[in-house]
Amino acid sequence: MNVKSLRVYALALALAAAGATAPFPPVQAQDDEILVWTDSARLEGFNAYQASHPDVKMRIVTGDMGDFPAKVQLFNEAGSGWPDVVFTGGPDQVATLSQPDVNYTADFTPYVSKEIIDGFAAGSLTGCQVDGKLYCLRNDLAQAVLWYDAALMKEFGYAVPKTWEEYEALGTKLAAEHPGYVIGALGDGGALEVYLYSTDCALTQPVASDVNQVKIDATSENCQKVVRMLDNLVKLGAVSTFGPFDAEFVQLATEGKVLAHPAASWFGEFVYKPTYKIAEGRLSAALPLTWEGETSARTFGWGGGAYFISTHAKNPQGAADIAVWMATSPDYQDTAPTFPAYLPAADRWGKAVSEDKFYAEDIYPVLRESANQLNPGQGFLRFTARDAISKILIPAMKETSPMADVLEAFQTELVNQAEGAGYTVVSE
Amino acid sequence: MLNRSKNRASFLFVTPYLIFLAAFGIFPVVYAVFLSFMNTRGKVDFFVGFENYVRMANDYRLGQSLLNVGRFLSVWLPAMTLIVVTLALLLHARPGRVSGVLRMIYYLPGAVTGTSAVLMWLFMFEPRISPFKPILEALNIQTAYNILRVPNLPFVFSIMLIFAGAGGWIVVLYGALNSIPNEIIEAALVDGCDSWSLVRFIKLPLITKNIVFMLILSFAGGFQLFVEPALVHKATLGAVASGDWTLNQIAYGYAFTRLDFGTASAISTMLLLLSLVIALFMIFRTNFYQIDV
Repeated sequence: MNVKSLRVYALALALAAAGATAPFPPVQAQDDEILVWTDSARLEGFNAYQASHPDVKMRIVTGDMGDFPAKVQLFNEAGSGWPDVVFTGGPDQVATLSQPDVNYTADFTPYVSKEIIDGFAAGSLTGCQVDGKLYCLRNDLAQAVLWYDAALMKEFGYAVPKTWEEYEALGTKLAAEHPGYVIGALGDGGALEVYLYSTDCALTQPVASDVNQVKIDATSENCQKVVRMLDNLVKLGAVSTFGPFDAEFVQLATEGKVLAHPAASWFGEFVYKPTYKIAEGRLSAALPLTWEGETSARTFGWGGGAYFISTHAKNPQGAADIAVWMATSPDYQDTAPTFPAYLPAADRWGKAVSEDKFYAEDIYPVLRESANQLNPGQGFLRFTARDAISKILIPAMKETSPMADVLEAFQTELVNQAEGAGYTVVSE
Repeated sequence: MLNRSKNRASFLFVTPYLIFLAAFGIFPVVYAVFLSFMNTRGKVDFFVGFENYVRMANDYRLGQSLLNVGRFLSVWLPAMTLIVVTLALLLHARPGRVSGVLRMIYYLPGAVTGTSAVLMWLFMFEPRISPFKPILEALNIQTAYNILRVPNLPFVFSIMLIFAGAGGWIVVLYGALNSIPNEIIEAALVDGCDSWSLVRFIKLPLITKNIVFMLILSFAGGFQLFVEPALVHKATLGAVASGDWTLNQIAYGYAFTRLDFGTASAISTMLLLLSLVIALFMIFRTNFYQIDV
């Protein structure tokens, strides 16, 4: 045996070993199977659909949906493998996936009745509508409301604020009379977005006429008034510079020192109950606050999921039926963990909330009304304000310097990120 | 005859490594360089020349991230070299059982690498749960954010990487010191060398190549820093460092957020070229491959 044939044998052995282990399990579904991708929280819903529709062939895969656009890109390179129905916790992925060169999301309109589409909360589907087409259905909403400790409010003799001016006054009084108590947690991108999107402050405002334009005007008076209020409250010590999930703020909450807290609708179930461990019968929620001179409130949507269907689906009607069922069916949404975006389902869901003894009173009317107050300036874009907030505003706040001083830098960062994502920035 | 069977045996030993090197080392690099000249969005990849490199050069974050990585390297490389060389020399000066045990102790932190090391250090920086609470409080540090401030980040990452990486290099340099022929050291001692002169004139010059080797590999690795800043950013929910603190993070963002594999490959190729240039510079400057007689 000479060296050359030894090499050939060695190579053959290595290749055989590699082939035998088949490192990539087949993801492509069989011809009439509907491939579903979901996160673990929605898995039971899809399983319930399968159980109630045994004639529909489904293959359900769970995974982390955070990287979903990257996976779609890889499928585009490979030419196969796209899931037919997807639940994602990041509905703004629709902006990337609906682009013509990515071409993943399919229009729901031919497969869903107008009656159903109209049943969703006002403004909840706006972000899904691109160029007149409906590229996603919302699963749930995360509208920000004003959570407050009703018992503590009564004890201190304060009124629940209805406007942001009253909120600031409350903070001033609280800092003077009861130092150590707070009415907010600012050290988190989402937490700051609740304040910034409470008014017509254009950070990521979509332009109706052009899907590749965005309006950014972070130095406008509307944005300035929010930041001025926050700087003042930070200076007084009436808000915490930690985030709502930081250990330091959680400790404040468990000690009962959080008087009020503008935060998402899911905070009640998912943060106050398990983490802040507030006592029963204390927590209540009030409508999102307005600024003086504004006729209607605007509130930030801090999360919420959505369903996509694929342009490559072999059975788009079947895929759409699954998505519609998940978003609207009483069999799933009535017991869903978070506020359903489909309002008829939300009303049924709300019965359990109304009867929940954990809250001081029936908070469902507040959740219901605020569901229609989502800020249209929020938009689903290929970038979010959160990165710029974390990069510019939060470090300034933590270094105890006014956020108002870095608004220019914040504007520059937002514009840079928008342009990097391929948008043209307008200021009108 | 003996030579031929020796060649055959050495071929057999090296071939598996060569296969993996080709498949997982060389081919991805060539593919990335190829991709850096293509536009990969859309159905078909098409050639775009240097467009991706221009886009990379015009990225508003490039200057800041080069500065970040530069600051980090200027803290980490000297500190690590100093610590590693000093400890290796000390260990070599006192051979014996203690030295052997200490070598193992220095090496142990290397077992906790990458993401685990970052998490462990984040716990150590948080006064509420850190075993070093008295020290942190004496330094007036009430919360981890006091340490993880943006100007401190080069030092923070240096600490993490020195802790994890120093042990391995200490063992390597100790091995290099051990390979110095005893006769030379004895001759030096006979000539009246004290410990410090021994280090300065005998030991250090003879292990210079190994130190250069360590510097080349560390520079290449540090220049491509990714795990530590990305994890610190994620673990603090975005409050510390940004998602584009280093060049590799920017490349990652291009690939997986902007779905632009072409520009990501351009950044990676540039990182490779820069590391190669520095490596070649150091090799030729120090006559690295010259075989001493």
